Amino acid sequence: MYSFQALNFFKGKCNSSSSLIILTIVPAVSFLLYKKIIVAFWPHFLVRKNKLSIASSLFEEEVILGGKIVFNLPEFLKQDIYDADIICNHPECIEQDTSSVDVICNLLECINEDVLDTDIIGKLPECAKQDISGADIICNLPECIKHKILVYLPLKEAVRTSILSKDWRYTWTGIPNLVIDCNIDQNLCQNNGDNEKSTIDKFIDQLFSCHKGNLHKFRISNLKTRMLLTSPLMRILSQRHIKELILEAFPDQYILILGIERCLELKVLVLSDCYIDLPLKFDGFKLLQTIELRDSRFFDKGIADLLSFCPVLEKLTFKLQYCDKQIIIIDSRASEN
Amino acid sequence: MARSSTENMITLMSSDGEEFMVTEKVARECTTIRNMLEDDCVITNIPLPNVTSDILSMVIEYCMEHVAAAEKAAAETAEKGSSSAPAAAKANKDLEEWDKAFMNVDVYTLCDLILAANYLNVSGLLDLTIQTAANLIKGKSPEQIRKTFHIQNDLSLEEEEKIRSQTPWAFEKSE
Repeated sequence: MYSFQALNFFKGKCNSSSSLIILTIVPAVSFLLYKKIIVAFWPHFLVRKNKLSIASSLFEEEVILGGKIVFNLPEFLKQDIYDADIICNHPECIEQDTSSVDVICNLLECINEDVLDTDIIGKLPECAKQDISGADIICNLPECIKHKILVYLPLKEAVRTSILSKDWRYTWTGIPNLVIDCNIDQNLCQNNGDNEKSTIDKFIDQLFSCHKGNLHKFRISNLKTRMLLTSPLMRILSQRHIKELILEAFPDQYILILGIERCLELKVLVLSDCYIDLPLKFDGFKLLQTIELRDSRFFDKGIADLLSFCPVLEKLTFKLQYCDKQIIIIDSRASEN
Repeated sequence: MARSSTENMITLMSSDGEEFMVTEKVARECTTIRNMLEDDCVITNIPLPNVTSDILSMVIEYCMEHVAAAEKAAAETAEKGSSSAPAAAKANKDLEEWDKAFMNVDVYTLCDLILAANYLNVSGLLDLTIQTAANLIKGKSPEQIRKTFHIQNDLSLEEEEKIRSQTPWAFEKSE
């Protein structure tokens, strides 16, 4: 009958790709009332409580595939499914289609009115479980949204999502904000003595050998060890279009920064207990809007260049426990701008 | 009545053809719709083919609550000449509580809401839903996260070992 054709149609579409569609069934009561009825869902609708109840309420109105379900299907399937509307209410539904019917019967066994609250997937036969591998809902979110979610997590936890599944393998490598708080991740910040490369340097190397996406913000805070940010690292940051750079060492420590002039797209620069070496010839940060310097020092004449060539600078903050003459002079020059 | 009868009403139509009448102010909470209204100010009927009616009604509920809260705050400020800090703080707290209760949804609805908030560009709702999703991941073991989001682990043991060795610092115990 009609539904038989519909079934074959779906099977034709699904055989090649298990993630496309599986067949499932509404609660047994509806099944009895309407003899044999088939509803095509997206895989994850199977486990979707509210959608299932919608489907069963639709049954009562003798409409099976309402827009609620149809809209989630790809365009090319929609028309066929609208046609299936009429079909599926036909009292003499499926005749015999062994494979599908088997699946359906298996499904039926585990679906009764109570199952809506329980883990349906867990009860499915193995073959059906494979069909439902597309049921990972959060994986269906676009990558950019996953990045937004990961930004809310501490860096370590975001990186740990790489072992969830293949889909998640590289997701974290595209997050736009890398925020390392040494108070939280204490094992990253141990000092291994002067000669050895410190843990944080190794960590930064590993981090950037994996991370691939553009960077909006890079922040290291509460660093309790000495650290050297080298020109190659700054080149990487610059290639990733870094906009906000925040480096905060603990007062008795310092971060030595070389090559910061490469990061031409910087808008926000916050440095605390840092030593910054700027080259003699330096054109300034054309986009820098906010700069905050706490107990940080520039070698030679660097700071004059830094502040004189920032045409859109809006906010300048100095916090100094010790002052030297040079910085005071430059401070007044900058405030004239 | 608080609402003037002349206030423009906009009809939003969900993907499954259900119509929702909302005030223009509520509709404008969605940046996507605000942009449409600014491009074409006579438009009154907006089809939203990416949002189902159950999700759209939730988005509207969120927007109405937040518009009402903003209106109330503005009215109080106008009445007293200046806003009193404790009252404003209480209103904020109430709204936070409301948001929290609003986020008491299953993970499927949550993901649909994220997609809808992203599509309609409701920044407050997007932040709220994404934060909620992040909280479901935070502090959980990979196994727990997979269970929450029905993620199937399709990585072999070797692959997992390889990933762990690339970022060993992420898998070390903190203590």
